[in-house]
Amino acid sequence: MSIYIPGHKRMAAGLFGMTRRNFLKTAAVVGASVAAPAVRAQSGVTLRFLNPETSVASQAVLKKACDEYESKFGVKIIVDSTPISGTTQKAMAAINAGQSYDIMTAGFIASILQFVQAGVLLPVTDLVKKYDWGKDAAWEYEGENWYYPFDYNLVVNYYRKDLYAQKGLKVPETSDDFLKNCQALTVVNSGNIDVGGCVIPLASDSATNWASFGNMFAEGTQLYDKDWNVVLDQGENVDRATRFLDLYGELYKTMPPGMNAVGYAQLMSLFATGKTAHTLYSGRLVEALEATNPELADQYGIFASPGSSGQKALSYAFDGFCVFKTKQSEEAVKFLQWFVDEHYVDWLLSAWMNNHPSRLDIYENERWKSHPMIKKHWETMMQMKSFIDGDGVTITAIDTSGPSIDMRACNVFNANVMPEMLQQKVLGNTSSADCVAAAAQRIRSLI
Amino acid sequence: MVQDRRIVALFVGSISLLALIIGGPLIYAVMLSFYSSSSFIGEPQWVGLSNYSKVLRDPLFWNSLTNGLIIAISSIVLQVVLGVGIAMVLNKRFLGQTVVRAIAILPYFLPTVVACLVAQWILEPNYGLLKSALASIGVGMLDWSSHAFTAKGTIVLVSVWLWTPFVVTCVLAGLQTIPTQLYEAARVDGAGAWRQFWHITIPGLRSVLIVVILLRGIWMFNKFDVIWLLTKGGPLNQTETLPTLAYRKSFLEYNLGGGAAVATISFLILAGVILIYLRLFPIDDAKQGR
Repeated sequence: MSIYIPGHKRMAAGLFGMTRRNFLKTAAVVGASVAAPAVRAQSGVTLRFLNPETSVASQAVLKKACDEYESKFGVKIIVDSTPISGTTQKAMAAINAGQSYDIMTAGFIASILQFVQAGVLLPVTDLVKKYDWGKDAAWEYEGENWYYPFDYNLVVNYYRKDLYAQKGLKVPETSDDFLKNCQALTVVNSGNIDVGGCVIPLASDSATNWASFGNMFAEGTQLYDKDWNVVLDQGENVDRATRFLDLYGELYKTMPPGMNAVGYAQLMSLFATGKTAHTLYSGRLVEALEATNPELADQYGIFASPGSSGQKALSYAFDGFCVFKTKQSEEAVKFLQWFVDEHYVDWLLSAWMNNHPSRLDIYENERWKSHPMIKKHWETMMQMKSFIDGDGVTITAIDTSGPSIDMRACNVFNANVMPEMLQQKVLGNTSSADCVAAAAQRIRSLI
Repeated sequence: MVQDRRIVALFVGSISLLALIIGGPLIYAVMLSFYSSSSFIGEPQWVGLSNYSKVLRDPLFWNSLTNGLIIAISSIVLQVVLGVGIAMVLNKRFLGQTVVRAIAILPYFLPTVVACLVAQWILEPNYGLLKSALASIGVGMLDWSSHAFTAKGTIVLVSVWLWTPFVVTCVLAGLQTIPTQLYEAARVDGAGAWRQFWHITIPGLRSVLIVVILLRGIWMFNKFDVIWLLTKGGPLNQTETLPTLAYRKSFLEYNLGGGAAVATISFLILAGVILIYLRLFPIDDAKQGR
């Protein structure tokens, strides 16, 4: 067989016109290229890091840290940054493929518990115990810490100070005050709500599970007793949950349209564009205001969700680093230890307000405190700190409810039972008591 | 002889590849439906038919099946009616016919995610284009995502917008195979436009329509992307269909066995309907009839 190439001599017979000498040369080059990474890998360890914090700043901090670590210790770290929505599935797929990540940033308690129950996660209790942490940040499961926390995602109520001043309103102490403020700030034009009193999401998704139940927890509503019996529809809890749903029904009338499609992004954008006087979000909203509407970044305030008798509560989530059980776990723990010693503050500052520290010593760290944006929003940061180290505010969430951290509460979160309770109330026109009864029944069927 | 062997080899190769990439996951999914598993990495437990029993007793399953049928049938009827109408117009000779034909097919080239995002920005109740347009004439904007009828209607409209061009293309091709002499003869015999359409066009398109309705039926019944992007099954599960339910159970609730059971039942329902459909409307007979 031969191939004619214009301008070249017809090549001698061989595989695709190659001579044996050329073939051997090419094979040697290709073989060396293929083998090179393997040879290089033998000279050091390569760790794989699954990172769902995809902002440019966060990725830059990771890259800098990983480059520095490699140059100092010869351990290469490959960072795979991927949006948070598919992170758990990706990590599980990697494990199934025999290519587990070594480290991962996790934000959902259900994911961590699934990994723990499958026996693929390494406890990092020794690292965690070195520090003091804010309320419920360093939770334990089966007596161990399974992630190294770095932030809270407290769902605080944001309000417009300028609008409050215009209307002569005060920061609400009770849920009644909150409702009155929302009603006073609602602007209706030709039958449409132009500016909503508040936004509290309603869709069947994690945003609603995360954000919408601060007022319910402020009422003191319990979903389970100490033995995991469902008590949402029993005793005082019925009244508490019913009161919350009645409140939600009234607040809903002050919300702009489209609550059933509101997710994380819209919670921020509706506030940043002046479409609502109140919203719910973590510190990320302050960063969004600075980026998109700096004027408004000087006119916001925050408060905890109030209950009918003035009790306060906040729903929350968290973020932290997990280490997987792999052949390189020891190296991964070493890296994590080094990272939290050397670059933890850089990491926190890469999302300066969203990464609301859960490690209490950070609040005394001069470098962290001297960041210009932390300085500017110091009052807000200190208010958020008061929520996590004082006793005045209950911090809990749908997926951390119950007597201990447990997959049962996560299943209720994942099945969207509580968002659907809200939907039954305002879209299904069902009585609050019936909504509570239906939700309790559904929870029983799940856990 | 050598050619025969090549044909056999190619045939066996193709079938093996198909068996691997279609049959493999299918068998795996069916097997998964007999197990209970709460994560992708845990050890699944054999539970026999328990997942099927739970799924069939769940009102949400029947609600999802009904929603899926309503959305699929409404979309197919509209797509076929509009598709045949548009194809008949495009089959006429007029100035700029080629350009109009190209424009008519454009939505089919749009990625679904783009089409859904465009639809969302048009219909967004706070900032959307439709809201602005309605406000300029003093009319309020409906919160479409909060009502079962409007949410389903939006899914149907976006589906019709996206896939009517497919029907148009197929029907247009079918129309061009109908001999013009048939219409001339009918006109000579005094048949009007309606009778020509009913007695020549529709029988001439029979085989095309059977295939188009079959394909659109399969695709719409299995439709996931448009529904997930627009409503995620809400409000109150009123746009939940079997594919979104299977996804929800498997990937959000981590009830892998339950999700696989929903998917398997959905597959069996679809396979049964296709068999009945093809028994009622055999494609070969349609060709011979024409």
